Amino acid sequence: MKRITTIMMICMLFASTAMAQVGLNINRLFDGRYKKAAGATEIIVTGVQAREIGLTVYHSLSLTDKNQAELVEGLVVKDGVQAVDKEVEYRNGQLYYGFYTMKKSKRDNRYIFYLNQNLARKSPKNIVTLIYMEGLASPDEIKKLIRK
Amino acid sequence: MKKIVLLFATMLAMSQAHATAPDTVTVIEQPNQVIITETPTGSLVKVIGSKEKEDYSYTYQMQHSGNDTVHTSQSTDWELNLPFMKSSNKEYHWSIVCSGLYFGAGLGTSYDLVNNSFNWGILNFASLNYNTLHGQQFSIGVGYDNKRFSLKRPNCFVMDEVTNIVGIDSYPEGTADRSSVLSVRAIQFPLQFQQFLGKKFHFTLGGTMNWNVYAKCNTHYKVNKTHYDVSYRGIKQNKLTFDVYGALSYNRIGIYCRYSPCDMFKKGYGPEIKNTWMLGVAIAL
Repeated sequence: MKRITTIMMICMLFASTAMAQVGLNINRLFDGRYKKAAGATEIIVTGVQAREIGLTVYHSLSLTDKNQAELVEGLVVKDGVQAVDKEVEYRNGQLYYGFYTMKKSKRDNRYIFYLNQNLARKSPKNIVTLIYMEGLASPDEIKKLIRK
Repeated sequence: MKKIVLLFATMLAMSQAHATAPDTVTVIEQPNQVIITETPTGSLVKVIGSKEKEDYSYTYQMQHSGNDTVHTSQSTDWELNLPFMKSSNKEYHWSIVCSGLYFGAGLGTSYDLVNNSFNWGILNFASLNYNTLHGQQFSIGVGYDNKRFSLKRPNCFVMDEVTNIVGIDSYPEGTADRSSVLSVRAIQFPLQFQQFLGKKFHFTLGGTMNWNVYAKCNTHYKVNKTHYDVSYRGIKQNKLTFDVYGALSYNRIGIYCRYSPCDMFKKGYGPEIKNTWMLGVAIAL
């Protein structure tokens, strides 16, 4: 019985972290479709490692398939409508980067970050990055974290 | 945000008014959203919503004519730093490694009766490295070294077991299969510098302090089908000696040269075997 309870608790924990971005359009991208896709890197970090940087959930997706940019951008922009604060930059009519602060989930702040490095001026790279983050970290701390 | 809007609006006004004093165009308290856009012919500042009115809207547009001097500063690229993304190319200043397996043969020593010598060891069982990330690396470590010296026939090592003094004698008459070897084992403490020349070449310069923990003379010969193996322990070797070495490597395989200026025996306890040169092959240096 003890074992079953433990397993159920672990499953619930995984489910809660995996579904952290529930209610957002970008959730569609984190449904595991890119886990084995070529040119895609998905990172999910929770627990101690995430807490070390002031987060409870860190979920990133990097895609090198240019054709995916439109899909990702579309979903990010849709979620951006619901954001309580946002910082965006468009280049050539496309979203270059977007940093969205979403409504809080309980006490945690929620952030979506999007960057299309194809639109970089200095050295464009064929990488589109989407990051979903949850935690107590402030927007400035998040920016420091994801900016060199 | 408010300050940025004011600043930008003021800058636009300045550029239009050329040398005239800057005038405040408008002040918007706590705007909800500010959108600044640029087109080839002008700039536009759009403010939506304010502290007072949710549906507030303000637009400031400036068209540039052909004669205008317009100073604009484009936003810089976002240099992304992805946490938790492991980079295989990432280099670190500090590292701990095991390195330098080497085998070498003697080029010569100060003692004429030495026929040949052999040297092998592991330069660093473990070393603490500091890489400047600009092509240089310094390290300090601990390793193992073994030196062997064999004598020219018909000479062999003998030891007075009372005084522990090692001397040279001749083999007994009628002996065959003769060899007489001095073996010195040391824990070594190398301090070295490496300079990388491109991605694959590097040269190494260093020195080691050898703590000679064990020494043995072994004399072997055969008389009338009987083998004799005589070992002398309790030799008074120099406990501390120092070597210097240099190496040139390609793809971590290279040649090394090592010079030992110190006498293997304590003064008065054996023949002067010093100024030894070794040359050999080093792997993973």
